[in-house]
Amino acid sequence: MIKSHERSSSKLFNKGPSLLSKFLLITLISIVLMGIDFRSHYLKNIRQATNFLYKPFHVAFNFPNSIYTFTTEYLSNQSHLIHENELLKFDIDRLKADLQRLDFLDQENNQLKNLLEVKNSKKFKTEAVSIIYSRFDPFNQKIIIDGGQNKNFQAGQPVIDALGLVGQISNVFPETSEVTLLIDKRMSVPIQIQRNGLRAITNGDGQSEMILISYLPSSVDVIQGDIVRTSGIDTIYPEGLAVAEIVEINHDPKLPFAKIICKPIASIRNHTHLLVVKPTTNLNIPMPLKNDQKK
Amino acid sequence: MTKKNKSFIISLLIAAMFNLIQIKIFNIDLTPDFILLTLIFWFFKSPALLSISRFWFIGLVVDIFMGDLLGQYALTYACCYFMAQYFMRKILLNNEYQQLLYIFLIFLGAQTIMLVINVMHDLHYPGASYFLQSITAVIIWYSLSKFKFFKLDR
Repeated sequence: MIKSHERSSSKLFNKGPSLLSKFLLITLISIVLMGIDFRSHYLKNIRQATNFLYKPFHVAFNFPNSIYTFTTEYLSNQSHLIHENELLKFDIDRLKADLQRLDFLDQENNQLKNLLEVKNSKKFKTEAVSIIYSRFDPFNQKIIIDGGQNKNFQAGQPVIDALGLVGQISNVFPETSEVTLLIDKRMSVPIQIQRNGLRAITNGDGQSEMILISYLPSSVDVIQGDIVRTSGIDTIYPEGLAVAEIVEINHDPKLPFAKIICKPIASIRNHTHLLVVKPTTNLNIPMPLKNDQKK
Repeated sequence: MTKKNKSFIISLLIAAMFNLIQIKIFNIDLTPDFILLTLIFWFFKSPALLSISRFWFIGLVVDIFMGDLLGQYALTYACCYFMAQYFMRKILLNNEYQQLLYIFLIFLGAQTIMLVINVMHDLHYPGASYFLQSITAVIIWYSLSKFKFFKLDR
């Protein structure tokens, strides 16, 4: 109590540098820090180095949730059943992910039969993960999942749910990884329209829960309700994953490109479990998001 | 560690937890920055506890956890301290409704700095509804000021 009294009295006779000069110094330091970070992206390295500090926070953030699960399990007295149920749910999700490709394969099969050509598409393997938390940031759409270097995840691996594509791993830490969602403004996915096989690229909107298809001419053949799937030509995303459904097309004759708005098929916000797609070939993907940032 | 210091740190941790909750109405993100709200509250509750360098340091820690560039939250919080210091007497002398206006101005200032940094960084404007977050912050401030613990001393 005496200490605080001393401090407040020392404020009366301010001997140190004035508030304005302190403020200007701090502003200068912050701007220099931001400038260096903008060029060299060293914040990523700091995050890697300080990752062990996150652990207690993850536990603390999950505390209300874990209390809830603990009490419900305790009350039902069937913990092993619940565990089994959870495993089964993972299995169902995995099977559904396989199933959603069936539609696309059917379509493709018909096309191939016409051409008398057979292309064998590879099946992909997935690993179930759960979401720890989503980052509070109005400028970025990112979530943190459990499992990182310990599960051999790489930056660039696609993340899906039972319905379709959710996003892509953008940063891998020792025990967690950061997933950039489909709706993030820096996220681009090469896609193909299921009905006519038209190839294009999506962009996140960043403002709403929608994604845009850019750089298609105004006269393009798309209709409302078309399903958009990954084309697989980038070798990052396996082909045939459902991405979005077209909800709005603006053909403005003044603009060179049509503005096509789609709604993601995967329920991006409503999950606790996701699936990470394992690459079929060991790809060395060089910083998928950094290239986007340059534009 | 004094009692105030302890409760300050605990309240910051609780604010960090609250930051993970997304308040969404009609698909508009209305989540205010709870850490900044806590910091400003403590600044007015006991000014001796916080200095501009403390604000800046807490901003740096927040940056490591969820910033896009190292220093954006640090700069924002330092600016907030400066504004709060500027408004200090006005807030403590006015009645609680007039206080809200100054709190709103501080939050609006913080959001504007954040927006400028982000627009310069990756040319992305999140839309005018982004500024609604400071209104939520004011609403939370007002509803909490009804409790005795959160009353500011005159």
